[in-house]
Amino acid sequence: MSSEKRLVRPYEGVDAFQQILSAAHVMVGGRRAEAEQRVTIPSNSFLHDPVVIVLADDDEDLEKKRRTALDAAQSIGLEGSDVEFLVLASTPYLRLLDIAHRARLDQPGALARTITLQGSDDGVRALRTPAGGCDIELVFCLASEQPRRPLRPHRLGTWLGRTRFRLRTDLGELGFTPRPLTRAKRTELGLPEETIRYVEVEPSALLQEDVGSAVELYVDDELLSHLSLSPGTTGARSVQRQLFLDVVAAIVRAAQRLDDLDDIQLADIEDTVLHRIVDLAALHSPGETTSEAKERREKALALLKNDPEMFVARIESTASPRKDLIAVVKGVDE
Amino acid sequence: MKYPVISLADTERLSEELLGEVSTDVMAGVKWVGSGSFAELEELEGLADDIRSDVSRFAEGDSPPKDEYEGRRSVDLYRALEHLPLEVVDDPGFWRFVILRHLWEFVGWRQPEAFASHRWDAIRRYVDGRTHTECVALRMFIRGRIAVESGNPDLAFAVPEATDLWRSHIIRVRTGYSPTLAGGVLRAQLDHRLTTDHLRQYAKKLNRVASNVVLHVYDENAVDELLEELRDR
Repeated sequence: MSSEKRLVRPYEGVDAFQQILSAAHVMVGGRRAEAEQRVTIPSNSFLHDPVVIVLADDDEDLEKKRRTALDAAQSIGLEGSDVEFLVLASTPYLRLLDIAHRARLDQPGALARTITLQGSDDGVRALRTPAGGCDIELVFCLASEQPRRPLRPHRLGTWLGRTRFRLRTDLGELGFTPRPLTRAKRTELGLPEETIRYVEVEPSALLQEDVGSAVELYVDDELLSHLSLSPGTTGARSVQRQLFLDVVAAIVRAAQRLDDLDDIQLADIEDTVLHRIVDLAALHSPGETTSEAKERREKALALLKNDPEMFVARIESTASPRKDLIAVVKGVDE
Repeated sequence: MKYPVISLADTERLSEELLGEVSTDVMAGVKWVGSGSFAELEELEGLADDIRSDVSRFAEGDSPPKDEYEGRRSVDLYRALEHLPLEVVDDPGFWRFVILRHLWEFVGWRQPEAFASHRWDAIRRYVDGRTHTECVALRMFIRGRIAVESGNPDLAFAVPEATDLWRSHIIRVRTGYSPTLAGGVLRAQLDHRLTTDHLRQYAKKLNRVASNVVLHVYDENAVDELLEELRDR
């Protein structure tokens, strides 16, 4: 049994910062992304439509939030000039990050009702990368080093509130694509002739972003061609979901072979395949705060280490082929 | 802009042909995507010729440390491609083109075990353009850019035997988003080299700070102070 080390943020008086950011949303070409959401938008829209960050409903709401932030700063012994508001825009594939907006709370316009980002040549680089996508982070953080005091943040840049929006396009949706399990492939892999699926997982690649590099799913070539021809039938849907669960189970088993799984924390696996699987098992609730989401992920990571079967069972609850399987068993498609 | 790409399926087919030393027409697998003027790739072509010639010479026995050579050429590759629109270098198909058309021999020299296996499964990660820590041309482009943007391009190759440092402790983690921070990590390793285990522990401490702190607002001095503190802790 491993001991779980949790990322602890023992700061008092910072919840108000988080609440302001958790209420924000982002609009792109008519699509809306809530805090901590991942949205898929057409690549054309990604490249040409401005990204509008909406911090407040109207001027009155904005003033209320500005006041709340200043009061929160004061409650922990900080001036408006000690806290800054940042908008970070990054693209994971190319590892590019721009600070798109940066202002101290005491500066006029530090918070605006809306902030618009453009991907034009002199604009935000991450908005010119449709395959890699763009992560937008809103952050309140310390603008300067503070004296060390119990339960108070002190280090320059320590965030007091943070939220993220993930914008992805149809070009960047790189899931695992089943590959045909042909006779030659069976021979190469040493599989019996009647095997219909086989999952290969490279444990070290679970600490990468691209699931395609970590997981290779082979499906009987004849079955795969039928799945491609009729993906919408009840039977096809149930098989697809079952394959997904097979892959999840294979990933969970492979994760147990990681050298330092017991020692891994969320901060170590950010943006990786493992993090995405942990996120699935976290079973997030609509409207939860960033802290609540983080706590759920921490618990899911602990399950992955200590109770992998329960971890898989939780993911099954999100992708259960139950209804389709019942329909298949009852012979609905016959 | 019109630029060349190779699909993943064609990359698998062409790679297997190249590994089998079958006569292969890589350009038959190339498609041009985008619109407008054609991407200028003359500088890439010149660089690829130089690298090919170096690799031929290395095969005769006069071979430099592989990671150091990759680091030096990372800066050259970045400079040869930095004029391209980001949409081009963001496309995994473009990196597959760069490798299959221009850097195949170099990638084979750099990842000899994988190439010796003659198996697509073994070489895929180095040529498929999907993973920035593995795909050789892509990881070089990112390494070159980080070094150039850190203000000291020589950092791309200054630290000896730095494959794992770049792969696991810079490009894969948040440090890769901040050339200033990456530059600090490289300078620190250059001044006081840590062993693999110590480096791993040190990188973990840095990653944990990075999960609580926005390190992108740090200038060079603040980075150096933080890294010194973490080393002493």
